[in-house]
Amino acid sequence: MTALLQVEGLHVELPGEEGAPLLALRDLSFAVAPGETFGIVGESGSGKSMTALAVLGLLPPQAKLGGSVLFAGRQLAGLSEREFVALRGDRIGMIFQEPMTALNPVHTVGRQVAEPLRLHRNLPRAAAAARAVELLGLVGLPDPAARAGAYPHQLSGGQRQRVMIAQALACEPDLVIADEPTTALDASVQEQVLGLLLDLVRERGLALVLISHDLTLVGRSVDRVAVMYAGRIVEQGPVAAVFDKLAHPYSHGLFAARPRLGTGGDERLPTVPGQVPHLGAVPRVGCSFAARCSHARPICRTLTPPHLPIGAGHTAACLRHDPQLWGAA
Amino acid sequence: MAEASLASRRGGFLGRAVRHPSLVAGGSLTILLLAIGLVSLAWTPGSPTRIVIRERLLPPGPVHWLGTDLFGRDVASMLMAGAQTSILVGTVAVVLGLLIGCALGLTAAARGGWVDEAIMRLSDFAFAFPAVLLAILLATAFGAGTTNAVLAIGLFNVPVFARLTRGSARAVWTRDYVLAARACGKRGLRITVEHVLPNILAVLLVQATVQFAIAILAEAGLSYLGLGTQPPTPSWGRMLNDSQTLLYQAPRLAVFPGLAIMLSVLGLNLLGDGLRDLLDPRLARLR
Repeated sequence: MTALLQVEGLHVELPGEEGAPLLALRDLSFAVAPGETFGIVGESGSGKSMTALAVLGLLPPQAKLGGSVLFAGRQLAGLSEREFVALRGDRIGMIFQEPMTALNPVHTVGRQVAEPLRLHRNLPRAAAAARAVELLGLVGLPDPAARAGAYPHQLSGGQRQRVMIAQALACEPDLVIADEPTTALDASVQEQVLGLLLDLVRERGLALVLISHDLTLVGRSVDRVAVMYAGRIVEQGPVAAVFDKLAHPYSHGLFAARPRLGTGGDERLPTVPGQVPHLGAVPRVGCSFAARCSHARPICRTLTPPHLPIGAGHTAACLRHDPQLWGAA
Repeated sequence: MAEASLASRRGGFLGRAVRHPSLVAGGSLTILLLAIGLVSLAWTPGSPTRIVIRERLLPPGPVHWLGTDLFGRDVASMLMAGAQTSILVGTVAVVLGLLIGCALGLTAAARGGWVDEAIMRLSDFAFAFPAVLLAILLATAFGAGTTNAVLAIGLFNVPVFARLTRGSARAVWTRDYVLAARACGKRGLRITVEHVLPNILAVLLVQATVQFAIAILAEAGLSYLGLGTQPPTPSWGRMLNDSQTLLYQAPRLAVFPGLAIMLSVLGLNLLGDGLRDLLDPRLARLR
């Protein structure tokens, strides 16, 4: 399999408050094949969005990036802004969480959908506008010709997110990164918008990176999934395999904490004890989850767990899956 | 449909504007000032410059509505023509300060780093330099006159607009839609023009009215000191200067230009306040 996006050993360091740099992403490795849908799951602050920004070269200027990001065989790490600009919105489309703030309030949505076409395809204004109306129709906006002239505040949340999808898909990118695309939407609209996004992506054979805190939603939507915790991927693999055999205690916790129908409304949802540590407080060595883990042994605090194989393409960064080490501990 | 909704928005804007007392008062005074300046181009009750010694220091009457000054010039005509000077100086100084300051502020916000640092420290320096001192310097170097007064006031406006623009623009740069625009493949200049500028125009417009008022005051001050508009061009500041030796014999000679300056500045400030409330509803609610 030649990967469309191949991330190897990605490190992102941010300057900390007191001089000590914060490791926002550590040793991140994953690959997304052409046409594959890949989910990244984790709590707030686990580094999901940072991963997306790192791939697009949109990290804040103070951030230091290490490792390798190959996109279609091309090294993106260390690319100049000029080279990145040609890629963004053209080969890689991005969908943001909050369409109310990600769309510019002073421009019509038609113009905003047309923008990538004008930028990257050099389409004349009229042609880009016509294509924008087509795209708005494609994402299911009723009466697209009229809605193209509307301003973001005149649309509903779901419609705005459809506009964002149209914008991300305008140039027919090879890869779409969707950062919490449905989190800001009503539950009933979430389903529609996510369904639409998945349909469009699959019809066109595009690769999708779906970032979400919602394990259930990701589980239903993608081919492969990675679970992130404190800047690391702790478990990844094909969705079926991962859900069948959750191998990392953190994934277990996330899975147990999701609400389910038919279990009676009275019981409290189980929670993962403790909270995601502040980036500066994540230990440099050892398992970053050890402090909250009920299985933790002393060795977990001194040895950073490698990605151990669980099944075909399924790995977990937990020492419990190394019988030799775990047995000796 | 888009046009219809736009029209209804505009109607709402006008509707709210009409109900806003300080905007109506400030707008009326400002329009009056502009109208007087315009009319004076074509017509004044008498000549603002003709000296008739026989008619000096006449009290207000049917021929000379506001009387005459020490040289027998018609005060009403001088006031009207003086409005021209004030408007001219205010406009040029604000446009100058706005163009340069806004460009500097936008650049500082877009580039960040040492460019930002350099521009802002330079503007701090310019800000700390008193405008009057600058005017005196320009006047001694190049001679006193309206042009140099305008230059001095305009230069004084540059750091004001640079700081305001940079601050507002930086706030816009942190917005998600700028990140989204960058994710679409837009570069700094394009984002500045298409995303940042439209979102800070309202703030700049409000500040422009305030700076216009300050420029009118500054021109009057400089002319009063003899560094601004030179005779015979009528100017409110010059009229104040001329009147000061006659303060006991003919106080009206100081009162009329003083009132003109006060009403213009008051009008512009009220207009600025009203515009801010109207253009930035969040700020209005906070107050």
